[in-house]
Amino acid sequence: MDSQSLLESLLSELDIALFQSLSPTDDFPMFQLLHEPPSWVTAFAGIDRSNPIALTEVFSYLEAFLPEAQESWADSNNSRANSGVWTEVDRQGKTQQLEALALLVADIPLLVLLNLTRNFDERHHLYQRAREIALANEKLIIQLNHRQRELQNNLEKRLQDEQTLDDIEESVRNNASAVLICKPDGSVEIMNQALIDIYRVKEPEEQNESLLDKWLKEAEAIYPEIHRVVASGSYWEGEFESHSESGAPKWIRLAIGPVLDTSHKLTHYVCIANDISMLKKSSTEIERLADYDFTTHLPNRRHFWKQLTKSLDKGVQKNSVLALIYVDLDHFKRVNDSLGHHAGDFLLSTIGTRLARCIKHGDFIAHLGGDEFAIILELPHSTINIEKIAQRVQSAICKNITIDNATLKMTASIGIAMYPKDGRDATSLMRHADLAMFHAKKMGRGKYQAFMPNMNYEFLQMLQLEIDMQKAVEQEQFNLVYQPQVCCGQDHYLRLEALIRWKHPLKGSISPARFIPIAEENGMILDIGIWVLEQACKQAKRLLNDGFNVIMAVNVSAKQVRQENFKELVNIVLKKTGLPARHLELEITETTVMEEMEVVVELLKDLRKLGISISLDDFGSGFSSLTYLKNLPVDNLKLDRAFIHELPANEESKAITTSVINLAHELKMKVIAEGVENQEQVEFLTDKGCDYMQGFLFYYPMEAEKIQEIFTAIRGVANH
Amino acid sequence: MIAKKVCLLGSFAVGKSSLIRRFVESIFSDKYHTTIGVKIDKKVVRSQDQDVQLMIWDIEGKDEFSTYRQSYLRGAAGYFLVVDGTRPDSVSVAKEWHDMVLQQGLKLPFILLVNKSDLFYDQRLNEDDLVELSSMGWEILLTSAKTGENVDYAFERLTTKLLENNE
Repeated sequence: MDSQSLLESLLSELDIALFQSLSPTDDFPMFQLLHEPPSWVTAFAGIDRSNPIALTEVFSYLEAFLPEAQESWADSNNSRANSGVWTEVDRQGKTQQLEALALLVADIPLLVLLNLTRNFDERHHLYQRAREIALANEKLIIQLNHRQRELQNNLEKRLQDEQTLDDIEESVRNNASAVLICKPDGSVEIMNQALIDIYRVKEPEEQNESLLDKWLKEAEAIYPEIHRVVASGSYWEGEFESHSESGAPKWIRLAIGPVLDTSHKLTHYVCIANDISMLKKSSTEIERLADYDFTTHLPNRRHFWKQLTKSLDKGVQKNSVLALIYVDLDHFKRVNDSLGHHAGDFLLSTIGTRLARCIKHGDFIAHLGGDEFAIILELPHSTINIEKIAQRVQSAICKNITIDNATLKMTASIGIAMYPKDGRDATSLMRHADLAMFHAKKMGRGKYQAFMPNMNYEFLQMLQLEIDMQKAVEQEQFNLVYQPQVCCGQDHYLRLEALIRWKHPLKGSISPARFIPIAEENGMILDIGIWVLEQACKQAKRLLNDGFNVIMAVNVSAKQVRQENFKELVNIVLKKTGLPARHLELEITETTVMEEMEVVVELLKDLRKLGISISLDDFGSGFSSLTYLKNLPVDNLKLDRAFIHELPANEESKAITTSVINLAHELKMKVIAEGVENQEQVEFLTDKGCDYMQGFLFYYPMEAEKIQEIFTAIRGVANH
Repeated sequence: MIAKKVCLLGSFAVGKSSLIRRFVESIFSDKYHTTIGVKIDKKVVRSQDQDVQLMIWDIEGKDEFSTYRQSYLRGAAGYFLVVDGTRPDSVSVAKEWHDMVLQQGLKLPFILLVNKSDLFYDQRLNEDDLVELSSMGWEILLTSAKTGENVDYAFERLTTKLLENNE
């Protein structure tokens, strides 16, 4: 057999037909078959090797493929184009699966037609099976999620409504999902039979280790941040491999929901678990399918870990640089709570798509679950400006999203860790990216932050401070100091601002700037805030009883304002301490007002109806809009110390201060300047008609006894 | 006779092939048979007093196994986005397809088909979602390849739209 015959036999055996394009740049190019036609080719058309043929007329699919084919014929760099599989019905009614390749060989433009029919059944069977399983999984997951979330909401509501544990236990006794309700320390309140049966756990009294702790440990391997998320009272759900008492592995889908009381204090965790081992392990196809998230269609956490490990291995081999960007959406729970889980899923899906468009070919993005995404970037060199990429991610997220007629603008906190600088293995790199994200969140959300080694230390310090703060409330380590506000004109009130101080038994004085943000984050600000209010009112009442006509100003945090019963709490404190409302002033920051405008305006109106006066604190520090001022039920503006500090040297600060004073007076508000430290500032502010001043030039914050002395002295001078 | 290419796009197992089979051959089978790649069918319809040959491209459902190719939509005159009324996620996939069409710089007539309307008690789509899509100008038809509900009408309607678009 000569080589030409051998080649033709081979092409026939491989179900290949080889054509040369005779006019490769034409819109309808002609093709010449280069060998004897295989029978499957003649089944479509009368093709022979002596007559050129317009293949796009025989196979209309090829018409759409032609531009790609022409591109590869024009490219001498050995590029080839693949048409993908398509199905044609031949003249005998038989379906054939075909694929075309276009390539340039020895400057000859070729089109290779491959008939894949012979082995197609096997491929089809695989896809068929995988998609059937994916379909079944998708439906099961939809049902499971729906059921799990409904049960979660139901139990949270029952606990918030203070139903008895017996009633709640009764309601979940025969539930197919495993239910565990425990206290924040992990001690079990309710455990249903499904939990005992499915996971072979012991009765609560026989448990050596809290089940919640066990789950947290097991989940930590793929969710290193789970402790932080759960400890911070956030909702968490995820899937991980769990082991029953006998050591048998099971995949469980677990949801942990915190239950808060009316003062936003964590009272319980509601945990709902379902055995999803069958979904995870029934076949190798499932293993493959288990790599993708159903909500966003992005690679999931499991896929992410595989990819991160792979990328790191590659990084070691090629000595290259990697960036891990950890993205956590801010306030995602609010969307879920207010618009429902369906809206939440839509939002995640939309953001997932946007993020996927932010990255370039070769980079990797995953939806880690809940409101978390991660991006792995393989960088060609370490000088790439990673911040620019973080900014791009941020701006993709904060574009408007319309859901159920509501337009949302999301932000995210972003943490960045670099390989090899910030970690050489997947776990430490992920932990450091998470820590950096956590710091970004602390900075006020909508921010990004690269990992720095001292963050580990700071985080531990912060955790310790949180624990100490709990004790500080119990052991009365907090105290109040008071800073008088000086009237620039004539006033028959003596004004004071109450300021909190923490005297730590080992660490000495801890600045409020350090512990208040932590208290804000963990919700303790509610307890601390009410304590401050009560102490300040008591002190004001004492001064009042001593004949001093005081107004006591107390700072109120954003979290307090969001409490539904805040007005009632203030009223209770006033009644308890006997302080008439007109002697109390509440200071609320401009930022809080801007964030919760509608709620806050109504609340302030109600508080003023009680007789309490209101100061707008740190005015000018946020996005001050002078136009909204006229609608605010506010008595005083406290000019931010940043402006005062620069007086009178800074022309801009002078102009702003003057304008604010004039505007406030137009609106019948008084102005308080804080942070006054020198005589020049006093002269300028007096000249512009500022009403009150507060600062070290006049008085440092001082203990109650000292205030008593000073006020007595002032009264003595006045009486003379 | 003019010929027009129309594509059916959507997630896997939403019923794209079944809709085509019902339209072209008046046959329906409950058995799911996945499509790999593309299958092209032809049918002549009469619209606006003329015969139009529809080249109907049944394109593999979007999932992790499928690869999108620009050639799929090249030369298309219009398309159907197909979703399964019992699977909320299929709406997101349809939106992704729609975005891909737009990204390719194509502004073509299309209709959203909410298929499997015969599974009345299993419908899971959020009505607000459909209202939102409708308010964005999306034409939506409830179809059933099983009962034939709206199937012929959907193809007739799209043919009218693409002829109007041609004018």
